Amino acid sequence: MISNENLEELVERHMGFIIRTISRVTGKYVSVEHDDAFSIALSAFAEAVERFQPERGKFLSFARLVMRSRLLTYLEQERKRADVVSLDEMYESGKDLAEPASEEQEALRDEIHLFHYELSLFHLTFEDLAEASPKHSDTRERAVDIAEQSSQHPPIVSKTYQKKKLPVRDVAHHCGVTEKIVKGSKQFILATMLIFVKKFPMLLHWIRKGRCRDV
Amino acid sequence: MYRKVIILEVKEQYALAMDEGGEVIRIRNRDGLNMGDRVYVLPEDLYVVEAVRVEKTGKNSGNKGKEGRSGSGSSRRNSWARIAGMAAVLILCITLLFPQIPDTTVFAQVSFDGDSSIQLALDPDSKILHASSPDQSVDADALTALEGRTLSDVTGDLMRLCGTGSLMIGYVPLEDAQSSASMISEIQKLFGTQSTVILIGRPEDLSLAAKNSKSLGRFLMDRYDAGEVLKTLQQKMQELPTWMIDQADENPVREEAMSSIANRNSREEVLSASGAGKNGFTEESGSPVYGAEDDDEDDGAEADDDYDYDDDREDDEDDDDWEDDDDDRDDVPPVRPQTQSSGSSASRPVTQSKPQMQTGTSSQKPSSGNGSTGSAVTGSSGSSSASSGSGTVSRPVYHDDDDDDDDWDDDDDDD
Repeated sequence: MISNENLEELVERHMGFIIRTISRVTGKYVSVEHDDAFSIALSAFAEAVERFQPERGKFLSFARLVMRSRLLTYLEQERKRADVVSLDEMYESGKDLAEPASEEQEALRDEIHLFHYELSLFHLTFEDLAEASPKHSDTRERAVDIAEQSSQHPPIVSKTYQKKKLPVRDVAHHCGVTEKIVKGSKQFILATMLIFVKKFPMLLHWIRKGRCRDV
Repeated sequence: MYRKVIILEVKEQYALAMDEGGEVIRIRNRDGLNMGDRVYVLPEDLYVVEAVRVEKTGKNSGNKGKEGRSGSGSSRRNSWARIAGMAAVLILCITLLFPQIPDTTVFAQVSFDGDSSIQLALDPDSKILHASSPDQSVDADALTALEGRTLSDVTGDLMRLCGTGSLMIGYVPLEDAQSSASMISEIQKLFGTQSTVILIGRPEDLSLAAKNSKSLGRFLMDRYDAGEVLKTLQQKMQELPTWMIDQADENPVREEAMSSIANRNSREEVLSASGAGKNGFTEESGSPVYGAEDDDEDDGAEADDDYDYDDDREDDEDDDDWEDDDDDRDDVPPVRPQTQSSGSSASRPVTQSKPQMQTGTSSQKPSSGNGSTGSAVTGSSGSSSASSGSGTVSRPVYHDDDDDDDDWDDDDDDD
């Protein structure tokens, strides 16, 4: 019998495999939290680890079979449960079939709306950020640091809101970097600075990889 | 391998999400995806757009960006494709708007002066690269019609434009001078029995002729007539060894010629002294004064009799130069123009005509039809002598001149 530590290590090592298997079976993204399919898949993976016999083939193939079986069984049960009530009648009555969002998720949605509004003040959209986000992790981390430092400097913040654009020279001088570095990630730095300035907690927590300093 | 993202916005084909590092990415849209969802994404879930056009929006307005048409392309690849397309269009426009640069350089410049003046730039294959009329005597359409054709193709046009009378041809080789002999020969053959004079100049003569708004041939002829060449000849004579000059002085014909050089500076005076017409042609034969226009087939002896004193003088001096001092070969006077007279002997090679003067630099060769600078050759129909002039300094010019030989003989005897 495999120990829990070893099982966690195995799961972490094969997380991508597990997520891919779930997505292909369910046709949906795997939620980070409160995902029944994910739970079922994890238990199936553990079962596969227990029952695997090396002489019968490869482990991942066997684990995929077990996980698919369990997930398909779960989906069948969910479908049968949904068939009890007429879906057409519920659509016509305007009832929302989606599960009610949790408070945390509602709060996150509100933050996203506010963040979108702040960006619009500077004529930015999420699409712009998708184009302007630094692809390299080091560059991105440095840009986040620059945004955080700039957000803590009131003159830069006021000048940013006054001119509706990032004061590149002031930011570079304050953060001790070259203007070229700031210009290269100008929009990303501005957007991230807005998150710090407005103190969106969940987004802050998110971009700091779970670490929140001032919230 | 996998990333955790927050769904920021859901579109039709993709969704915008922010990962834990703050990067905003596009992922494929799937059922059940809502704003605020935190999900795992894999590399294969990333949505790659071919063309995404985001319209700048005003304040308080939603995102009106246009979605990508498909998820198979790359925005960066699309940028390169756009750049490549624009570059291709630009190149195409330049090619169409601007004339194609000819891939051949000008091999020689030739001018034809008769009733009209035409100057042609030729490539090594005698193809006309450019046609002009220095005195504006030919309209632009006629000149344009000549371009792109070979000399042989436009002979009829040249005759029509320049007339069928006497024709003065100026020639300046711009490339390998030795290869010009064949072109000169070709030019000579073009006009059959039509009376022609070919004057060979130097590359710098082109600019001088253009500066004076003259065709090449007229410029060369005017310079020649202006006595410039004669003055050079006189100067060269002064550089000759004393004994050669003394011997030459014994020649009464030469003495008369020298006096004419000193006293006569105009073409008309020279011509009148020789009994030729103003146009340089003898009225009887239609041949220019200086040309070996005779019907004689043998040597230049009889032709010499018709020549002016200049011929004798040149015979003596040039022979001396050629015979005794090969090193002075390059210093010989410029070649005299010679003509192709009607009915001239087809077998009379150019190189066997009267001695020819040369002008200019020491690198010049005698006119044996090789396009030496400042030289002139006759156009004798059917003659391949021009081609025989390989640019080497040779004596053929003087071989057929019995008088010259006699002089040499005499000189030898004197030695």
